[in-house]
Amino acid sequence: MALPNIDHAAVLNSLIDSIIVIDAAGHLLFINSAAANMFRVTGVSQHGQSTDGWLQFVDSDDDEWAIQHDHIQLDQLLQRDDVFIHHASGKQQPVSVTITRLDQADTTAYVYTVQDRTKQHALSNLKSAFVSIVSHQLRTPLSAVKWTLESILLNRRKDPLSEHHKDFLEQALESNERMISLVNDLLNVSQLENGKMKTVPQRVTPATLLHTAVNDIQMYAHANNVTLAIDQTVAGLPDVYADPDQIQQVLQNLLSNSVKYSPGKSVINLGAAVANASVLFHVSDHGIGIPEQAQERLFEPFFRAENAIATKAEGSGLGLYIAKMIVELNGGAISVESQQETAPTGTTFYFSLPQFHGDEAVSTTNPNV
Amino acid sequence: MSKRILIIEDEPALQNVLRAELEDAGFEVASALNGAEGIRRATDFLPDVVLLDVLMAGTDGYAVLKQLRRLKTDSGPAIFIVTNLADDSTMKQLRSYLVGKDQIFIKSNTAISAIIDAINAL
Repeated sequence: MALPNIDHAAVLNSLIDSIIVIDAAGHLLFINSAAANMFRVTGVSQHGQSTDGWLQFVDSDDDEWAIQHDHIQLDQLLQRDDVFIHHASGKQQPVSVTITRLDQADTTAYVYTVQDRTKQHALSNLKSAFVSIVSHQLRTPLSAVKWTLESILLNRRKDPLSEHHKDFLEQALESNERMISLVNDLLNVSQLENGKMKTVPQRVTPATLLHTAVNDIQMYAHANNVTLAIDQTVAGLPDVYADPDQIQQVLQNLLSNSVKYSPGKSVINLGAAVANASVLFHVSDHGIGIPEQAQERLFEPFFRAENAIATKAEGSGLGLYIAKMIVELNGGAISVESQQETAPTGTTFYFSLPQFHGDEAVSTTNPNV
Repeated sequence: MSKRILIIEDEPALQNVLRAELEDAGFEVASALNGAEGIRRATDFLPDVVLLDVLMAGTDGYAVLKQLRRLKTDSGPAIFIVTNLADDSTMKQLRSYLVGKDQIFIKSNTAISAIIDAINAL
């Protein structure tokens, strides 16, 4: 059976996605109907003409995306899904753009595939609005409950409070704090997933990072009868280049896990060492350990190992997922080591941060960090 | 002489408990339920410390901060931002506004006793 003769241009014109083909000098070689409509150009008459002035994209700050065509290799594609078309009307249309290279005879052409992302953009805005509501509208009443319970328990007015009532109020305060911590985790995940968390890397001393983290969690460790020990060797290490606030959160998440799953009277060791161009930090405990099959999934959101669930210790399964995302955002990597073959020997978490070399674009030093 | 504290907080439940605790800790306390009232109280009450919420209807914490900054001299109040806007970018923005003895507290992560300790430490 003979194949029907298909008009390729007609096929391209039937697509919903916009297709634009230009040569290396930016002259238009082809534009389909969807693209002519999207960019408000009158199709065929434009062939061979310059695309300057209309085939351009801006980011959310309205800065133009400088596309470097000569960097696109034959088997690669250049892709962005966070850009906008700035229409003459002033309207900004969110789009995703894929650019591929096409070499034919002696001509190099670039094929633009542009997809409208108005709906996805609206959904993402809705998600951000939801996060903002959670952040303020949920945390405010949670804070009011927390402060009120603390006020009654502090009992500055010396109102009589029976031991029985005191126990109940302490339980209520503990539940309230668990809820606050869950809301905090969800907010963090949402910000990290939406790319809203921006790193402000600075020159930081590894010892400072570790000492700050230990100070912050000391009370919790003490309450669980666990000792935190920082290796002496951290004093001589080179500085790292990372966002100190965010790394504190990584350390807090790792340390609170270690404390939570450690037996009383045990020690958690913290340290760091130089590894190539990085500094490799570690947090080692003598806790219940992590079964090998669980280690692969440990950094996935909401995942909790079975032996962790069995301890009845509370956890959202978000802490390590957050830690992983933050470490990667800061140019490092996180990993775990835990052996369980015979008896649990505890767990060691490692994470790396790039060393400070002095030629980084140093952000404004903030005295309050 | 006991320290003078001005609370600018639009959530009555939070303001009430904060006020009660601060008074019981021995401070002289004034309060305002919105930013505009807060700026007025700052000029007549002359607080040592302003506890300032950020997200408020009308004149929000940022606007109050700018106004107070204008009034602020060397003997002006320390500003303690007390907020639940704890996302990373807001925190970085808020920090850029701080000078001298100013501090930031995240409500849901802070015990009132920590705020009292910080006031006493000034």
